[in-house]
Amino acid sequence: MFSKILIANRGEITTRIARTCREMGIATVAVYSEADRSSPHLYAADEAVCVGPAQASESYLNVESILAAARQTGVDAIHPGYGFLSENATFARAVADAGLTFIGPAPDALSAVGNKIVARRTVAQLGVPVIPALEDLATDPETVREQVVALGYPLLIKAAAGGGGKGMRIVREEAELVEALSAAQREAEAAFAEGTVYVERFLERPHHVEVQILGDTAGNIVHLGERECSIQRRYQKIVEETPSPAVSESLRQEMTGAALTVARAAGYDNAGTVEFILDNDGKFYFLEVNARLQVEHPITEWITGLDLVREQIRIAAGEALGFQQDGIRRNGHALECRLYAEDAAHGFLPSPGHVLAWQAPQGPGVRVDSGVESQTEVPIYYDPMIAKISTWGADREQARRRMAGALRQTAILGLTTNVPFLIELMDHPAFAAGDTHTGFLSEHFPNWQPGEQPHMLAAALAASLHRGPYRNGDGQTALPSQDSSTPWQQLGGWRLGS
Amino acid sequence: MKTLLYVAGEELALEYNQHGESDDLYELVWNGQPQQPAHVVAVRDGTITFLVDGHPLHAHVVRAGDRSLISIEGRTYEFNHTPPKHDQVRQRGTRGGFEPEIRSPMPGKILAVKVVEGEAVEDGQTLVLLEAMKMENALTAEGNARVATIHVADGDLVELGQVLVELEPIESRQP
Repeated sequence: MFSKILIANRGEITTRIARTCREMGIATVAVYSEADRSSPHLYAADEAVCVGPAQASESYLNVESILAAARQTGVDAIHPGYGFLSENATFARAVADAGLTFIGPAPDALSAVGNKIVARRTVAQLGVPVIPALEDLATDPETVREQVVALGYPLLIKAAAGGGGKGMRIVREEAELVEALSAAQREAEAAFAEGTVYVERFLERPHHVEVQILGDTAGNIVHLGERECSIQRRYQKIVEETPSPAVSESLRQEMTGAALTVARAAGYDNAGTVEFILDNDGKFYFLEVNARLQVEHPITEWITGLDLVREQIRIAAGEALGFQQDGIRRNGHALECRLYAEDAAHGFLPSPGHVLAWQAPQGPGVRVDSGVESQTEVPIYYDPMIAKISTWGADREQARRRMAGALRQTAILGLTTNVPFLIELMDHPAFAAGDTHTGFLSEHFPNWQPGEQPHMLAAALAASLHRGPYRNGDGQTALPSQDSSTPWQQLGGWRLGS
Repeated sequence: MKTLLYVAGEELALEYNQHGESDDLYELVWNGQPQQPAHVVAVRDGTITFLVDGHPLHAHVVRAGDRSLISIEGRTYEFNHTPPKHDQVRQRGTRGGFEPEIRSPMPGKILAVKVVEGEAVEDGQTLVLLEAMKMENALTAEGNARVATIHVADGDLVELGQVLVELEPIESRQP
């Protein structure tokens, strides 16, 4: 087993991985950029190393810098978390070349599934259905315009190296194509240092369902059931749940079977996720493999009782899985809401800034994975997700009610967040009925505005009676500026010795 | 005691007076309308607990400069303690009409300035590409206009509400 692990990430996932390492008696090293000095992930680990300036390309995506931190601290393995370098086969090889273990799939498996275009071809050969797509796009936009005619609109542009919705654009008509292509390429280039995109047919109102898999280096591989991740904005998930309300037991057999087929063919080890699109006729199509720990892994942990990070570390250390498919029990229902620093009332625009106050919810069946605390910065440079709340219930309704309660307990001041939006989402009859699909938000929450302000008077009274803590505009502690008369202010021009 | 609070430029008046019989009971008048009284049972550093008709309400409160930010049951309330400055009022007032100042809708980084000073732009034309949190945002002209002044360059970091580009309207010409 490893004695020290470097976590090449930031925010909540670094803290979450460090917790499991501590439980396992493994020391941890956090890395941080100059913009993240106030981030709680820094002090979640036993050691912390600054790996560069704010721009992710110079810090969290900087392979040389991260490997130097690993050498300096004498770690024997690197956990990449999600995003950043987590699915970068070049990085995985560089880690191995440095004599360290990459906690994730073998570099060859990463390459095989990491490029979505290659993965599509491989999977299609296995007899698993894929969505019609155009993979070899010309560089000249005019030629692309002709190429995609056969596919028909609406189209979806996707990054070959993609994930997290970056570099994705829906194109409903030809006039939007050229600008959408270049925007997607730029976004992909910035996010993954790889600007290749491809185009596939866009399905209306499908479900996004994914299967969690776990395999060891000896070739044992199991699935941990599916997750429903249809509630999305900008192709980024905001609510996930397991099991999926759209998947029957027989469909579950088919989908998990297809996921295992894909994983076996890729020689996949460690934790991974096979994503599918499920249409309204119960037909499913392979989408991609996410060769990493998923953001939404806590809901699978809730219902299986497994710690996926612990399993990842054990597998990377060469240990056998220790359980077989029929030993995995799935119990109850779990939901996750992602808290984003963004303005749901204005096109979900990012809202970075300073967290002035943060109160996490608690209670039975409530878990919080947070990347912020009071008096921390949410920088403009990284993803706007600041925390995840997940709840478990014996059934979906209990999990949903727990989530609705947990969100109401959550207080974040200083940033605009999507918490009020999530509260209304949890309360919505269509969500309560389990009628989730990828068009859910545009159908039920077009141009959402915060409606209910039920405690305006109490809030006004609180604003009037409140005495401290006072912050100036930068969030620094400041003396009360008005309606206060402490002796300290009355001293005025008095000076010692004068 | 009477305080004036401001929400989106609108003035709100709150009178709160301690009731004689109990020092934590406040009689409330909200915009001239008497309200149910509230017991203020606990004022701590950053939180206040009320009882209104026996129902507890727990508020998280922070004062940031001129603003008070309050969270109650997952929803956030924001008040200013002084009246809005003139230009903020004007900004809200011109919604829907020609907006000469293109302001940053979020803190972020300028990816590209797509126009030059003096250039005539059409309704919907992209002026500036702005990025924050890995999301690209195209700021466009609303209405035909001429670019009067550009205040930013590629790579600049900008604040929320910062003026990026100033436009001047082009009078519609006779054919």
